[in-house]
Amino acid sequence: MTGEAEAVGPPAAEYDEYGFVVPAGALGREIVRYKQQFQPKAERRVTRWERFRRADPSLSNRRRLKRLVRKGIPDSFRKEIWAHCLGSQRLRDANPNKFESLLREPLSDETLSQIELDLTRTFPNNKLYKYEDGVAKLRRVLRAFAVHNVRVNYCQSLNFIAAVLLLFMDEELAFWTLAQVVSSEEGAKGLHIDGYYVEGMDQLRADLRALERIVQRKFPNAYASLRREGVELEWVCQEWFHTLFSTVLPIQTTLRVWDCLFLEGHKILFRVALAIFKENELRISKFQSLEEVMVSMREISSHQVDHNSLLKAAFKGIGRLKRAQIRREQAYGERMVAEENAAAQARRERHNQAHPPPPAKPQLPALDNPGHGEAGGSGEESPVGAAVREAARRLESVIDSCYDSILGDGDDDVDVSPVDGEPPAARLPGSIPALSPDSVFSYLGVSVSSMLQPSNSSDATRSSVNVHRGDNALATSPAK
Amino acid sequence: MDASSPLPKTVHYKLVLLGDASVGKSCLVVRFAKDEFYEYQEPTIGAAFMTQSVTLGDEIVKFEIWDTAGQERYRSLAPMYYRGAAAAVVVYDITNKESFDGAKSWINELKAVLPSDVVIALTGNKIDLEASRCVSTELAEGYAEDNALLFKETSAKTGEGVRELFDEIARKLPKKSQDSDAGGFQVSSNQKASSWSTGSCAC
Repeated sequence: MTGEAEAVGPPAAEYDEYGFVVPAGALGREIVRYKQQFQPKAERRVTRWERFRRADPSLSNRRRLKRLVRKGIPDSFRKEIWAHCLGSQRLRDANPNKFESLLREPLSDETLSQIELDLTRTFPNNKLYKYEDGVAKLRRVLRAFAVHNVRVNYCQSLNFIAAVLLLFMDEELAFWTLAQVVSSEEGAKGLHIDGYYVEGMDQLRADLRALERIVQRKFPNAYASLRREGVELEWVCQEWFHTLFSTVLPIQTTLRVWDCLFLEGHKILFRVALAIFKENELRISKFQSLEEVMVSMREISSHQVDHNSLLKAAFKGIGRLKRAQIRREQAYGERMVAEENAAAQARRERHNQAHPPPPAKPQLPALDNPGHGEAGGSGEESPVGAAVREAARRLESVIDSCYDSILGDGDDDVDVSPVDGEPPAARLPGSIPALSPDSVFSYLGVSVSSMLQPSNSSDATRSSVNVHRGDNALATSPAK
Repeated sequence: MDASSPLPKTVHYKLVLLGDASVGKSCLVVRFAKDEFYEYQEPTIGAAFMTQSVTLGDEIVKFEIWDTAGQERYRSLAPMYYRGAAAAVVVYDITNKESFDGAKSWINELKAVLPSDVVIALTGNKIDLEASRCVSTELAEGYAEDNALLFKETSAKTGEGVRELFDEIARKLPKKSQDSDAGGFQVSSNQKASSWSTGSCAC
């Protein structure tokens, strides 16, 4: 577009259809080969989508939508379908001047300079971000988001997510889409992952713990191999979750993952992470050194060229993965993280006592200020409020999940076939047979008393942990 | 790569890089490990892993390097990576005064958390931008002396000082025999048990 500014540079690289430089060597060849092989399927897909859009312009048949989305959204439909799934188109229509007005709001120097630092290093291998044009778009999306989501403001990783959105959308829609991905007001839409990007990153850390437990259960050999070499699962998987795989998978595969992620939500992160283990289980099980684990896991993720096979593994290969199970493991993760935070705080206090405060106090906002914890930032929320909001969110997800189950279109693949002769009762998320308030609350893992009694502690972190105390399935703490 | 010949002994050490965003941590590692430099190095999300060895007499010191994210927001993830490190390189940008304050804050944190025999190297990067220098060598050197740190100024871009930095760290690391675990990497097997639950460790 703005060609002349940087006419000099490396010799003309080969770009893919999304503007990324095709990787050199075997990986590049593999990507090109797979694309050709996949071409007939891609074409059939376009026809199918065109038919679907004509027959159901309002996308009201959710089941059909899900089935098609899992098979991949054609590039020409992505913008529209993502915006529909996340509700960003509706928000944009309802708030016609919001984006522009957000851009007029001031931001702190710190935020502005952090965004500036990252702009030119976001996908420097993509054509769009080689020129000021694309960089300026990214700048505006990130700035508007930083004003809009006060709690998150700007966090590295968001630059990559925004940058991929901008390959398909104009700035304004990309902004609304990013906003919805991170933190939607509607429980059923988006991923609700603001906690990945705020001070402390407690939600991310908790999710990684949750993932670890599930990996351990489903792929014990692969897991044991990592542990044998002293590798923490979070070293490998943290970036996967943080950038929603956009910096680790080939772009074509990332897009397939996002198709499902934006429609079905957060659990897809788990499914895809598990699918990577599933697809490479044997190889992972044979690692022999820490270096081999770290280098190979990076290589494994960047070589997931066969997106169809990965997605198949995510929905079929890894077997059953109920939302309720993820919830339980998340609650466990949250407890672990809260304990770890408390210990870090205690250690810091002990150190400060032993060594009287240094001349300039280290700037550690979250850790120096126990009253804020993860919930810090603007708009303090009372612990009770947080508990109620959390419960509401969970209830919504339960209803959603029940709805799916009743339709026979739940967490498992669309071709609903009984798996491994599992007893039928296990097909429903447990709460359906007895939907009494008690059972619902216990299913949600909410201790009612923790909601009714105002916590005598102002520690927001602790109160968010109380929310899960009711779930007795979690009572077992790991052997120390 | 694997030193399969019986002569030199390879010892593994975990090394972590810390410092504010965009001071050049990743570039330093890439320079050291691959002798390359990218003007637009993508920001590190969480941490990146690389290895590189330094020969020291009859010993090969193999660094298992953890390059961490610089944005303040990522600070809570840093312990995940510096735990069990034998050495830490704390980097600032000589053209950016705030990044020097950031380095000091990292050093305070490391001193509070890591054992005292961990080698900490304060590193002023980007000396190729001498004209824009804001942090004088004397100031940084003085601080390093007061706090018993190694000190080095480097340019990841030109390569100046980079090799020397890692050589010096290698020399300063506590000698360890196969069965010693004084901050060396072999501790990882002990760590396995405790690392999830640092919370509950006594220290």
